[in-house]
Amino acid sequence: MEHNPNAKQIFLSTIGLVLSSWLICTQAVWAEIPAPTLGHRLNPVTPPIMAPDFELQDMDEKTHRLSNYRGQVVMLNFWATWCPPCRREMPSMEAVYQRLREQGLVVLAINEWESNDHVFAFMGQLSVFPSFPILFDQQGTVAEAFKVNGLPTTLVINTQGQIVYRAVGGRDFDDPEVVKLLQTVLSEQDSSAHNRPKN
Amino acid sequence: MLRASLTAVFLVLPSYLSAETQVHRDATSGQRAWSIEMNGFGLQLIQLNPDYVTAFYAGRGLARELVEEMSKQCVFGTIARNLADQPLTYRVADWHYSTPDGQNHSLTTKSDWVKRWKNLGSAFKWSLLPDEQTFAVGDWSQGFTTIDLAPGARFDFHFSWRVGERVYEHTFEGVECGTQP
Repeated sequence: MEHNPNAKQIFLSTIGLVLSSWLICTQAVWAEIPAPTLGHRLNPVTPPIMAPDFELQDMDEKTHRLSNYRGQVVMLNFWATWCPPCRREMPSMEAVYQRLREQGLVVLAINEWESNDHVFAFMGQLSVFPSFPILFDQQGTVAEAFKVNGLPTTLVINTQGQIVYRAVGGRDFDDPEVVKLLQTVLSEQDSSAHNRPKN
Repeated sequence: MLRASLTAVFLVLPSYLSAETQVHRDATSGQRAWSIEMNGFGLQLIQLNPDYVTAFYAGRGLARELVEEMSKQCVFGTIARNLADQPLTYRVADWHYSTPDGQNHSLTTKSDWVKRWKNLGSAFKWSLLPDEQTFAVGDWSQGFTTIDLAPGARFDFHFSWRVGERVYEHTFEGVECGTQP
């Protein structure tokens, strides 16, 4: 019989995919131990840091460039499907997006190191399918540019393109305190738009 | 005098009790976890079995050598949290474990692993607990910690953290590597 050197790797990957999908579905390993409750504190970045620009594709292969959102408030979330707190905070991100999108909040969830197919399968398991764009940073270059050290990490970027708040670890983004904080950043957007000279 | 002494005892006792390591054992899987909330720091080590670790890395489509190397490690899901009201720092390089023969061993850090994995052509780096973090208030992080021991091996896990100018340390005694269920 001819020996295929890739056969073992393919076999391992297949077994791994099946097992890890099962583990994600049942959350069999990490979920058995009580997980920390999701907090609601976003920490101010002082002084604010200019967000590096990037260009990434979403699930429909549409390209998103961060600088195209200048003038809006952007919540940038770095995540992966295998990361338990990332999965836990996702519904609250959708809830706050629904609550504040009319006021101009943009949510961009940047997936690290996973394929479109893998993420799409994961989305099907969520009770609420996120309506904000999921972007793919398959080589981790955007996370590196933003000095993201661990997942999840969430940044709030103001209308001037500056990072003004940061949260490392899972959060409940639909908590009234977070909503209030985002509304404050959004209201700064309104006043800066008001003060902007008319063309 | 007696009243003052009793008051002092009751003031000190809760902080002493809260400094004890909590060991959680899941009734269904038998999986164990060691945790502490002490002096502003929360740390939880969650036993993972070798099958889970193999499935996790194989499921990412990573190089066979990488999957095999990680499968041989004793791996713990680790949750580190800042519970203090000021920034908190930890460095995995300051942590170590000791085996029953009395030997101390350094931990393989995330940077060590990423270097090894780069040689295997992989840029995957997200699964492991970051080497060093300064958490703002309320921040926390989750990732794997690896111990170079066989399934079922026992060891003591020594760790430290800094809040402000003060450095604290603690030991989880009798931690056990996961085994196949």
